[in-house]
Amino acid sequence: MPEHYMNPFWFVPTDGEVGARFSVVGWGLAAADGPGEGTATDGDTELLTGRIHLRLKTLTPLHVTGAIDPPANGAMQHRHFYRRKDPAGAVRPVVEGSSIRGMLRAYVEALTNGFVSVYKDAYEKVDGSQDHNRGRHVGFRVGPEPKEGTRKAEWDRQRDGRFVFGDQERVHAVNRPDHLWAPASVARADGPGRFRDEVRLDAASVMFGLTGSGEDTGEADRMAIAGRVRIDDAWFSDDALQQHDSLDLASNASMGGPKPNKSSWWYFKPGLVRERSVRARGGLKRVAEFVGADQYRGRKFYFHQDPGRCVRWYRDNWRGLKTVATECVGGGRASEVFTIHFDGLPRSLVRLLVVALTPSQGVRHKLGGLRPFGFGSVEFDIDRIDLLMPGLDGLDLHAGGPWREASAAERSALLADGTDEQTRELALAHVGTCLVDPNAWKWMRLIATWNSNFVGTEASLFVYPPFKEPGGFARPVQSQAVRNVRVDRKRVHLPESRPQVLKQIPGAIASTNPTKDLDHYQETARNFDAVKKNARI
Amino acid sequence: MYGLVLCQARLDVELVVRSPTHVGGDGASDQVQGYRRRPSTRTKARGSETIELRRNGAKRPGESELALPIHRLGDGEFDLFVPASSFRGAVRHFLWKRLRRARRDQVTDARWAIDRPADRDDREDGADPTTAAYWEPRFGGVLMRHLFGSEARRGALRFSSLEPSHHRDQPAIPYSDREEVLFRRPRPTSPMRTLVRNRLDRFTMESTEGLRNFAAMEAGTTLTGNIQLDSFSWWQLGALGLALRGMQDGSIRLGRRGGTGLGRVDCRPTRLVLRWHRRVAPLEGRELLDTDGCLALLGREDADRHRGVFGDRRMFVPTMSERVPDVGDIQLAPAGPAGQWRQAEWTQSADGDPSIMNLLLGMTATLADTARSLSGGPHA
Repeated sequence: MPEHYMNPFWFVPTDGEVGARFSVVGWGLAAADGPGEGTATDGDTELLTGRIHLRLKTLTPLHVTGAIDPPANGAMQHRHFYRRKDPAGAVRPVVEGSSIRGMLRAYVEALTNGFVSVYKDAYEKVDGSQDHNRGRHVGFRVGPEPKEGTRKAEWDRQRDGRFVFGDQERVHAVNRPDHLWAPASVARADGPGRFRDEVRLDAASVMFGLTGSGEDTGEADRMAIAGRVRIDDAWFSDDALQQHDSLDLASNASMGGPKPNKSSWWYFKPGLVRERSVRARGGLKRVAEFVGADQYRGRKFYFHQDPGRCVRWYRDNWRGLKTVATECVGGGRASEVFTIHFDGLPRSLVRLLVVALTPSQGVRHKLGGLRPFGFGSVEFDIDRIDLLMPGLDGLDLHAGGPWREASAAERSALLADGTDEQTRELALAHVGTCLVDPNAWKWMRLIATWNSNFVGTEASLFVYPPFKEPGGFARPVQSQAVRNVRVDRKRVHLPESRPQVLKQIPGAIASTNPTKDLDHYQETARNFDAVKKNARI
Repeated sequence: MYGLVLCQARLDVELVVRSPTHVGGDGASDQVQGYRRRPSTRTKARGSETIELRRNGAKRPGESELALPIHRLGDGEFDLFVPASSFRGAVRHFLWKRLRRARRDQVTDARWAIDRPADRDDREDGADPTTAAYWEPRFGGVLMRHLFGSEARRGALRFSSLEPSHHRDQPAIPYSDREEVLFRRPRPTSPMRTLVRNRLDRFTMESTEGLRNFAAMEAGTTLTGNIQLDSFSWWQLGALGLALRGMQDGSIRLGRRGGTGLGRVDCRPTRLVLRWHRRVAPLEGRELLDTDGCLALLGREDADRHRGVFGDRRMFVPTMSERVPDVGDIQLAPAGPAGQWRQAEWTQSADGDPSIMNLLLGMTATLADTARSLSGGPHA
């Protein structure tokens, strides 16, 4: 019986079916100047303008960090909820539209296997041993190399004198499949890049906009596209706030904060095992270094769980943690009605937006801070949908325009009501304009299915592996232990990069340290089968 | 617009900022140059590698990285403001979308049609504004050109800057250094607040560039400004009514990041003044509307009449029918100013007084009529 629970996050893979990619003409956003390949289905290109009035409902306590009382003894003392002046001038707790928008966009990007709109382009190599909080033995970069002599390259040097991106010996380049790149580089060609038929936009870029990138501002501007979805703030009343406990480390590190590392097979797929010498008590030791392949596993999402149970587990099983009083919107509370505007959005993407707001099969979103501990599970409750009155009626306000409430039939069509609950997302994948990646949807269900009955059980516990304790994440594995692994009756020789061998190493060394490969760690967790069953996978 | 200003309108508005509003200011930029990154010691909760972007010279955390525009007032002080170009651009973009939507038989989407260099090249290569071809909708739409102008003609609308009224009763602080204004609050009562954005890596959920600060006008700030029209038509006032309603329902956002809830403003008309030359007299003698004055110009195809306004230059003017709005409830000023010009004025008496708004909304019917007539015109 495995001893460990699943890790709080996993990844939605990016190697599934690629969602729709059309030019602006194909999406129906511009008139065609000539024949072009790839066009959304006729009915799906009708541009709709409207408003969705909805509430944000919390399933577990929601924390959006506002002020933080100054740390004492290395740990935070109190985390306040974010507050701001509301339209009437009163200071109240709020979830800003930017937070909701980021959450929705990340979800849509994953569901449609779309472009990765936000990424950190470089993770510097930082000298220090593995047990140093900030140490990173293998630096890596995701974006393209900055051109020598450009402002960007100069800036990168200034930021950290020790780090030069062009140094391939110290920095690994991370490949991204072509379908994850926004077409910024295509805009270099003469004329406005966005009108070129070969410049294909994904669904999320049409919905939320695309920020151009390039070596100069002009190049970036040529590719920039305004978003067609506007999200207002969600306001809560003061009495929705409650105090909950969260945890922090009594050091400079934040508990639960991401620390992407290429010296493990956690964020990256297995790539290489090699030997490395590290200083330790008693002199140099030869340890195995599990270097990730040059590709991320996918997009990171967190499991739903009960934060109270999770925090208690850490208190009982980890040492040196400090309890932090944390102001949250309590579970089961609803915000005031707020508005999401869509403006000139193709009908297919309005439907995708609505489906993203209210996913089927119990899939729910996570928002705000402390998500690894179960905070921030939320859902949306759509109150009303308004559509802009068509044509000239929308101009004549004296006659009651410009908005009208969507009829029952229109609302039903946008909500995809009547579609089999099992296949609502999959209907978007295969009917009309293909939008959803079925593989991504399967993984999303595995990670993000909310079931109130399941969340209350021990099987829904998701916690990080131990860090420095024996068998912990930061404990090195002796290189001899890897050499002792036999594959097809032959010992492993280091360095080793053959996939069929790498696949067997995590299992072979699991008794010593089960944390070296995320997939193996998750699949051998004691609650893995229960989580799959909960997601009906 | 027509060479002669035959009538004028001025609409004074009061805008109340409902969500923080950020209009990029002078020296405010998200370009890397000019800024430096430094590790922050106050951002632990956002990740151990969080850094904070600050503008060079900022000495304290929380000082804004991206500032609001600041200008010198008449009394030598500096203060925040929203430039007229930002105000105009927001209104223009909104009206463009609405008018395009009303005439989708001719156009697709404004954001793609307005600024196509290929079209510009066509114009430079010999498109003649005196020909009907120039008025094809793909060049931007007739109504929009009348309102906002084009490369060949000046628009009817003129926008003022929007200036906050918060300081009216406050003691002045003699800032003379522009940088000092940028890094300190322009006045003690200036309703600025610092907003923070934290973009998360989709692969790792780590902060990509640390916490990013920028300054914004706080909700509750009141801005005042005005919009003027030269040689206006009724439908143009209707277009203003449409824009005002667009602000009220959140369709128009001022400044950046409107997609994330910023820039929402509520607009209230406070004063409307109509002035007209005595020869036009649009309100007194309705029969004149069809035979004289600017309101009739748009419907004319008589070259002789056009020559009276445009001189000898031949100009194709699209046909627009102009329905006279129902202005029966408008009370004219008892006596306009003496001389060539006469004037009617409405003042908003209280917050809830809807008279000016109702008047403008009533004119949106005229706007719809005008658009309808265009749809069937020879240029359609």
